[in-house]
Amino acid sequence: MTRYQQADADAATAFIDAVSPALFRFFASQMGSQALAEDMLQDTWLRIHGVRHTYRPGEPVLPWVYAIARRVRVDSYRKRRRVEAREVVQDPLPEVHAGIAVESSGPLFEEMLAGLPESQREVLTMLKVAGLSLEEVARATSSTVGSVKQKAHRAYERLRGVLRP
Amino acid sequence: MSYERRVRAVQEEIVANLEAVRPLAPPWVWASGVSALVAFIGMVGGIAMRPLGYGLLSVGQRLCILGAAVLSAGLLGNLVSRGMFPARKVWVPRGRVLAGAVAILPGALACVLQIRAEPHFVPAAAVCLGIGIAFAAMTAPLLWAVLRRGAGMDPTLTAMATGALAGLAGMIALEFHCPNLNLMHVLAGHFGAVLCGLLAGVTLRVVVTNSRVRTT
Repeated sequence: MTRYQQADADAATAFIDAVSPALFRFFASQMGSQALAEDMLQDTWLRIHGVRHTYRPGEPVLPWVYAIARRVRVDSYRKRRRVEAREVVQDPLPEVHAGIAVESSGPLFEEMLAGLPESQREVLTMLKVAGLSLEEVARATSSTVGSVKQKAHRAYERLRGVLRP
Repeated sequence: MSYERRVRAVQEEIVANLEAVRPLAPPWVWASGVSALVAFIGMVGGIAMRPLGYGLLSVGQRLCILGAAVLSAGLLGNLVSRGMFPARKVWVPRGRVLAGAVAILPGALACVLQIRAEPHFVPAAAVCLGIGIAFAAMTAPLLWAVLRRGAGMDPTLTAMATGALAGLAGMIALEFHCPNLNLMHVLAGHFGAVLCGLLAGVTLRVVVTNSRVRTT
């Protein structure tokens, strides 16, 4: 990241290659749509590029990236909601599901996540899909570790209810 | 476009626009700088308008009121600097910081000032409120010029905190200048500038957001 800030093109390319899969999975599990996830991945990278000067060398990179990704997702959601409030849907296009294939007789991971409130879904995705620590999730979501633990605990309780009817 | 092609397209665009950037100064520098700017504008403005009020305050009243104003400026500065840097460590939720930064002011005022009878309460408070809002209007663009360098992580909260900070410059100026020590006058006319600034911040945020929708 530091070399990216210093305009090292190879470092920038490698950084994008390294982080994009995890970011794409984050958006896919949040949005449930491959097209939307790709759009937001692109928007996120452009935003990261525009604010790369706000990364402080020595600080953890992933929370910084996910904080920006989260901001892009929130902005995108609000913009779509405002635009949709003014649009009339004629023929809705079928959504391409960005399912991460899991061999199981139970519900898909995304289906289980879809039933969670947005804040819990976001925390669980960062913890379990992106592999961030509690502290990193707290930084990325601008909240405290205690709040993240609470949201994760409530999410686990809800998922247990889904798996054990 | 497939995922791989999207990533390639992004890489090409970023590499084509790649320039070296210097990381921003640490958040505490921005927080203290913004707070100091507000305190400085308030103090200089109040002295320029003649510090009649400051001369009437006891030492204890000065320490309490101006101390609360400085503390409030520090908390608000911390809040706006957080919005500049993604992934800052959070010890206290931001909403509580904002509420505390604003609530400390009337609390301090109520501790050291008394309610007094005032025959022309409304026009007198309106004059001071107007002065405070004028200071806020002058200070807000300076704050915005500083804060726009950041990442804009929480635009609504940042707008509220920036508005409150701008209003605080007006309140500090009035605490130096205004000789009216009636608690109700100070709350309505001086502290009112902070509340007006906060409301103006959130209103401007809503207006800007809605105007972006119309141009989409």
